[in-house]
Amino acid sequence: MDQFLKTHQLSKYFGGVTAVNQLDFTVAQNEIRAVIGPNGAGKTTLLRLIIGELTPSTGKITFNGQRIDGLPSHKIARMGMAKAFQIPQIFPNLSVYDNLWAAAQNGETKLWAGRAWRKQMHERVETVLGQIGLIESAHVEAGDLAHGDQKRLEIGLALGNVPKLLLLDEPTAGLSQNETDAIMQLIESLRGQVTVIMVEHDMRVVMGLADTITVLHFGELLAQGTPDEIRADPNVREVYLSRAS
Amino acid sequence: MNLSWWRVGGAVFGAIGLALLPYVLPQFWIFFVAQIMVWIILAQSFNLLFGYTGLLSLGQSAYFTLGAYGLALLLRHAELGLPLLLIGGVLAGLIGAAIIGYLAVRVQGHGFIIVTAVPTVLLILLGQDQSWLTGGDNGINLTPPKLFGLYSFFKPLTSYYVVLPFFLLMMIFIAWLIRTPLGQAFRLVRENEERASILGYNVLRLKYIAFVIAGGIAGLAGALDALITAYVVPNSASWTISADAIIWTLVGGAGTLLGPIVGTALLLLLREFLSDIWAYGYPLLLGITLLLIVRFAPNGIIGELKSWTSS
Repeated sequence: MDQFLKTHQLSKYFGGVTAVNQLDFTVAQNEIRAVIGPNGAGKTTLLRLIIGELTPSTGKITFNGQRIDGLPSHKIARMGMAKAFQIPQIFPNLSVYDNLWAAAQNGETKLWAGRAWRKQMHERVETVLGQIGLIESAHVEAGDLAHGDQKRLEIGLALGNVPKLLLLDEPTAGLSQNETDAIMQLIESLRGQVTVIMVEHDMRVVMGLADTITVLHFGELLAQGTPDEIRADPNVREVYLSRAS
Repeated sequence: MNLSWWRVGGAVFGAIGLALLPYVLPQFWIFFVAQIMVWIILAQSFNLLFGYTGLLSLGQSAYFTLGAYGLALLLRHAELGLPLLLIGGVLAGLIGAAIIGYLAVRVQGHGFIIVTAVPTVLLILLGQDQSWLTGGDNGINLTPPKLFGLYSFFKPLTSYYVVLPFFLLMMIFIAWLIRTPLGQAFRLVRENEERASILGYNVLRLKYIAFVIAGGIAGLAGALDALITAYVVPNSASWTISADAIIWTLVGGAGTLLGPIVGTALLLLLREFLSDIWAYGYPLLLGITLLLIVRFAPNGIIGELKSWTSS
């Protein structure tokens, strides 16, 4: 599916500030897409618009063939979308296991949980525990984890309900080299199974993982292409160099 | 979360103990324990909202009073058996909470406390104003029907054995509820609303369900109280009654099933023992206890015991 996620003329204004401006943005199924750009380019806002944390000012969003703009985030999430926040948003007083259980439960609030259902939840939790490498810490209170492990749990929460589209907001921010490598391996292992849109500043991560890179600047599309194309793009160099100076 | 055998064993042991207790207690204390059980039900109503769902409600006394009047008015104007009278009380609490909750859960933070507190004041004013129905400031004295036509509610033993099964039923109900997928989701609202909603949970709906259920539980407490004291009065809606339930819950340990049981029993016994010998003793000691709890044991007695045993 070439247009697994599609925004059409998407805009978001905060008072007089335009965070996202008339953006047409399309992601194909099972690709890994990186969204980069200087601070204030509208990357995080774009992710928040897609999963319904923010309502678009104008424009349309379709996901898997369905209009989702204007829907509350819990409904969008149940359609098969998940997000890992830049700053871990975990359940601090619950164990790592119970955190992942909450994700696996995927908004389900029934009054009866049969043995088969519990077994299925347990297996999902175990799978994610393995993926994020936190098996040893399964019964530690999430609030007591070190920052790096909280970031892993954050990604685990997003994987817990087996999403079709995974949004990652700076998955490696604040991590050491080793921890960053571990997250990169984790994302690499998802290739071909999940569609990933990731906002990231670390160019090593972006160039190493992305099939396609989208560059935003002042809420507009500046450039889009393969890592090599983006690396060679004079406009992109201009934006990044002028910011660095 | 598993129901381990020692928990089930402890609960069965406690239930048998409560069932046999009147054989060793003098009349006065039999009634007193029945009252403690009623207040524990009210405290659990607050605990479900605050301890499990993270919603600080000052309004549980309102649904308590609605439950009490639900039973009282049915008793006065209709010839109904005990089960229907109590169901009437629960329904009154449920309906009241369904109306107020619809507004309350849409307000964040401190606003929620205020929206839950206002109906307690309104209910008292309304009750005083419509005295033809409510008895006004004097309340209404009731004559509960004899149980099975034999046992009068003016005997402590009758009150005790009527309250006991509903008390046990309510504790089992809450223990069950918090282990269902729904009950597990309540905790997520308390822990992190934003995260819960991105994981597919309808936070508003979860808050509303918790609020309505808690209203029904408070309604049952009110109906049982009306039955055993044979008296209802609008002033029981006062937010200070809610505050009592809050304090009992916090001292015992919010977010645990045992906390409100231990806290309520302990503080009511303390009040009873001190009331004869030292008039200002209870409020003074209560204040000091609260300070110590908040400073040194913010999770309450049971909460601290739990973290102490698990580490």
